Amino acid sequence: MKEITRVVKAYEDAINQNRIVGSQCTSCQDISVPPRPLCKNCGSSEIEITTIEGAGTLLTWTVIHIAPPSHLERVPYILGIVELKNNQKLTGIVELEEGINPDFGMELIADFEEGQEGASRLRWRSRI
Amino acid sequence: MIAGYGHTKFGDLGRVTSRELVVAATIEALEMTNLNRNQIDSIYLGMLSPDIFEHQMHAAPGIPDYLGLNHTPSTRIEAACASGGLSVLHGIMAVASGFHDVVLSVGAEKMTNLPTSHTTEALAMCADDIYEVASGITFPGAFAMMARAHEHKYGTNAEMRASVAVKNHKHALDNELAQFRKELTIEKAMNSLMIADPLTLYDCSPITDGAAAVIIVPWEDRADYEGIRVKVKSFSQASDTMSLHDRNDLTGFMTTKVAARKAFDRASLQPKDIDFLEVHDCFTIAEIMAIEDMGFFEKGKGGQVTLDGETARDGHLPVNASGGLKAKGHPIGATGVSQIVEVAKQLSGNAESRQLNDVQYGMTQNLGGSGSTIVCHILERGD
Repeated sequence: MKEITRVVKAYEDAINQNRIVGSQCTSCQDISVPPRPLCKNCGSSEIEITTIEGAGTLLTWTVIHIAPPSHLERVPYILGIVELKNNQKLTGIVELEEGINPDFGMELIADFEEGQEGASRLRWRSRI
Repeated sequence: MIAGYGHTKFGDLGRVTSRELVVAATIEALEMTNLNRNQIDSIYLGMLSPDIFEHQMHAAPGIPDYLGLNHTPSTRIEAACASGGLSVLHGIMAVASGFHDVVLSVGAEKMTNLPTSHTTEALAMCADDIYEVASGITFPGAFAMMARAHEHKYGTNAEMRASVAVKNHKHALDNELAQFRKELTIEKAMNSLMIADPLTLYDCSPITDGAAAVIIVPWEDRADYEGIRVKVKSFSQASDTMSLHDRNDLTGFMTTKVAARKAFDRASLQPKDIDFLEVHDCFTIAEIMAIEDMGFFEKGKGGQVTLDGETARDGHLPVNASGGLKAKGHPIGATGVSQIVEVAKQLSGNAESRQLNDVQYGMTQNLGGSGSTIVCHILERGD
């Protein structure tokens, strides 16, 4: 029996501990964020969960005005795709201080919202 | 080949089930041919979510049930907004394999039962639940992020996006089955309610009820069948990552490029051979990206050529003469089949006041999720 590689649990557990993790292939060293059970570069199933620096730049964004029921009280909110330092990307809510507007290439750091679980905790804030 | 088609009115159709819509579209399709319902060997039902919209799982056997067919196999195919196109593709494969002679591929959705925010939530479930939905993504939001990236790289602005909506609304004036049959101006489109910046209400396709059906039979046996003769030249399908953020390029869909290339290769055709398109304009930017990624226009020029009228019904490459998802409506599971119906109408000379002249080849592109599934078909006018 092949062991189940629980990458989603690893990601959610890490986010709950205020960390972002990815998977690193033990043969080709390629990193995937979010983590994957098979290396997306070489296909190897030999991966290790590794902590990634919670910093990146804003690639693109939107401002959501019509939200699903789970996010109704947040509107309008900025949702962006953030490129991490190892060229991996994540989607997340971007919370900027009053007077600061989102911009291409803006430097962002990860933050974690209390009262949420798993991926919903992740927030991106501007680097002050 | 496609021997017959049926298509209900698209719109808010009130208290009706998807099963009843499917019956209406199917009977219309059969009546074009010399086939009766008992000759249907198998049914492929494209449907996103009878579970959420109608509290009905296991919807597939409901189709032969309501058609009064005993024991006819029926399979539901779900591929987000590409469910309909994929139901046609599987119907074609079943006939092409020689296993079945007469297949019904039908798509339907009954979406207007729920409040808008719940429909938005249901549709968002087509995104990656773990990494995108938990982060508050919506489909307008995903396409808005692509629209912003496209504008940043290529200068595709709000006016160009609005020109897609204006064109497709104009086309729908001549489609009596369309949800919206009213002309739209660039100004009105650009100044409408902001949904997901920079996409406004008129950048988005509507919430729609409806069904569309096609009857697929072997081309070799065409002499045996009455009805239309529209030949299936090729079909193709491609997949990409569930999450938009896992793609290298946020200004287009690699899946569209791959699927279109496969469809051209299998048909031994090139983009210049195609006379008209029905593409998946769930959002205005999606049509712009589709006509670029399929290889009809240089990357980055899709917005400008639309604004210039090149893709209007009287342009050199008509796109979405039916009104597209934008104005004809977008009953999710029905959409991919509806595209095939429109191409079959045009190629059989049955498109009435919106008939395109001298058309031999028509192509469809049906998109699921944020381009995670793409289905393409190329059809040819038969004799």
